[in-house]
Amino acid sequence: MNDFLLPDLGEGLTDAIIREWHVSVGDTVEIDQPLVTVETAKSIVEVPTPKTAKIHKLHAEVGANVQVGSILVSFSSNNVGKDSKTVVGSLSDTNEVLIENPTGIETNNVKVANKFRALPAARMFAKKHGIDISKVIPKNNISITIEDLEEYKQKNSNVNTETIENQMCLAMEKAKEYVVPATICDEANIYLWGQDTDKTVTIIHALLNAITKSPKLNGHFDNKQKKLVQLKNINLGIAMQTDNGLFAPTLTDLANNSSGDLLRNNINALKEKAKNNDFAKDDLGVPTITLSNVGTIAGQFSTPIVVPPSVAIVATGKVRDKVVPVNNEIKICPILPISISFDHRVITGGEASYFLKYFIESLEKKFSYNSEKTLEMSQ
Amino acid sequence: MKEVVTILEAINHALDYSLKVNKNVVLLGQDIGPNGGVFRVTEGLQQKYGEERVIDTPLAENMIAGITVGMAVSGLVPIAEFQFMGFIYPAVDQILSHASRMRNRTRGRLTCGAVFRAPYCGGIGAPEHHSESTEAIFSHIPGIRVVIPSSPARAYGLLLAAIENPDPVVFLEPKKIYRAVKQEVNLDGKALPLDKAFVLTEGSDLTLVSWGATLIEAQKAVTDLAKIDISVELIDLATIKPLDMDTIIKSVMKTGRCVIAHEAAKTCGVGAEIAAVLADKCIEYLQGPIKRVTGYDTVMPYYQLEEHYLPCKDRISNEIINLLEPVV
Repeated sequence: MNDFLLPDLGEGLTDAIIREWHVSVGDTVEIDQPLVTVETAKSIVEVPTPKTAKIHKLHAEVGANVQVGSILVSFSSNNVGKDSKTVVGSLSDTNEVLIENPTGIETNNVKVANKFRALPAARMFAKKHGIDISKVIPKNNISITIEDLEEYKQKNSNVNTETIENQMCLAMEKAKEYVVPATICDEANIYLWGQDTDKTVTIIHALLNAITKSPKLNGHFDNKQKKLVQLKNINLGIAMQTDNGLFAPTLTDLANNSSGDLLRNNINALKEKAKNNDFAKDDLGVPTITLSNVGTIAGQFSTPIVVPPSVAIVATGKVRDKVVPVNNEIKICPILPISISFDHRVITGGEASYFLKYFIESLEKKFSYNSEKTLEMSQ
Repeated sequence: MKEVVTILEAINHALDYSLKVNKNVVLLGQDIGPNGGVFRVTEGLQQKYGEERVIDTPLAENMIAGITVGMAVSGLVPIAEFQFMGFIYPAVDQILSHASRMRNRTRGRLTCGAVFRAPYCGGIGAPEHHSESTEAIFSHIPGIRVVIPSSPARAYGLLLAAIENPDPVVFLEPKKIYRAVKQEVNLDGKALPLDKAFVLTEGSDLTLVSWGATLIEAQKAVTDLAKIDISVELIDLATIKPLDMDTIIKSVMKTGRCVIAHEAAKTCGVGAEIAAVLADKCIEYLQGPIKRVTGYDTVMPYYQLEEHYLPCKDRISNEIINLLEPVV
């Protein structure tokens, strides 16, 4: 409630008589609107309304004498000049009462299943391989690692690793996952080879020659250290397509078992074993480099797959007669297509190209493979 | 004495209580006397405690802060009001250069137990400079506590705690919800802890951290998400500095996911600090990235665009749904 007092009307006058009210109780009045007319000893004066408000009570009747400073009118406080309660913008109100614990709640009531720790990389690995990570038990009892997941995957794989197809499947998956392959292709003109030349043995000899000159491609990739481990021993994987599927048995310690006849015997023995799927454990060792001779069937160039841990694979295609220049003359020569894939994480394109170059040079020269020291080339 | 009050009334009650029980408590600021402040937070207090304890100052924020520091160092408990957070910047020199380091400078002989109050945040359709959310600036200053209440009970309890605290506190009041939240508060003069986040709802799928007016949107999002069986643990940060990371870490280790919702701009916001500590302390528990739903890296726009700037319940819900059900 606000009261408005009769103001000092000037000239030392102390009272006035109400002549006329311009408002009545309940009126909403605007500031400066005529409120009341009073008569003093000197004159008739109109008093304006001091504020925008609602009239609650008039304190004097018409004709009454009112002293300066006594209450003239009361404004109803409900409606006294509505305060927006802010100088800028507008604040929203509510009638809803918030129910909550002002000091927060204890949080031990929700059960969360499968609490486990794993680094984001392990979670990503699990997602990629469709592993339900919550089922994996970490070896260190703390945090699930990628090794744990790999082990879990191996153990829980539905794949029957006994079958040849599935071995290929797993090997190819592994290759796809780890290796960054690149392939280079070229041709070798083998017109110097005689009719009776043992092609496979000759190709292997040329390969040995290339490894001797450019040994980096004969090695293994160390996945932990992320580097190449170059190997002295040469274990050549030989891809063999049989009715039973694809095999890649290994010719172990090739450099010391390289004489033509021995090599041919060993290859034949492996072929025989492949037919019957009857390999000894040593026959299926991890190759340091692989040869795939698809040329016996069809196809020229290919992008052979490097299977880790080895870092290179050589594929030879079907030999065809082609018209080529030889010593500035046009000749028809047998041409051997070659494709080499290498793991570009550790082998450069240059290194692979040099290997290819030495390989082709060896193939294109006729060299003696009958002697014990097979790597000596005949000029 | 229990009473249903708004945040604004709760603050008024806390000031009233402090003036009553501690004769050293002094309020100062522009128009806080007969006018009751720009939002009427201090309404009636000058009439009750007199002009010497509830002081109307000229329009000079640096001076208000300077007087506040001087009073605090001399043993009074000054509570300065800045009309809007957008006008506190002239006072930052006093707060940063003096208030925050008084204890350190004097090797503990002098402390600066002042409270710097300011209405903050947008959403009321105010002109430029009236919608600031720069709590991160103050959170970066060593020696300052930063508090943002988001309910009447926490406004009451945390302001009492700020007043009782012997070191400077920047107390930011979310003006958008000054009157938009009502709650029954026990006006018993009891302070709340100044270094504790408040878990408001318990959940298992995700931890949602928010504060200020955005917390109201977060609460709505939690209610919406519950309808589609997403169980969110909602944490009101409340004390921005020091950060109660223990409460958040405990929650995230349980839920494995975290979304932080705040009104301030994203870059270098308080959400970034929370995300960084979570990445440090519980990366092995995280089942997804830490996401932030924030204002944009721009000045708060005017009027109707405000609603676009402010993180609303749907923006928060969408972020949570996306995090829980990633589109492959």
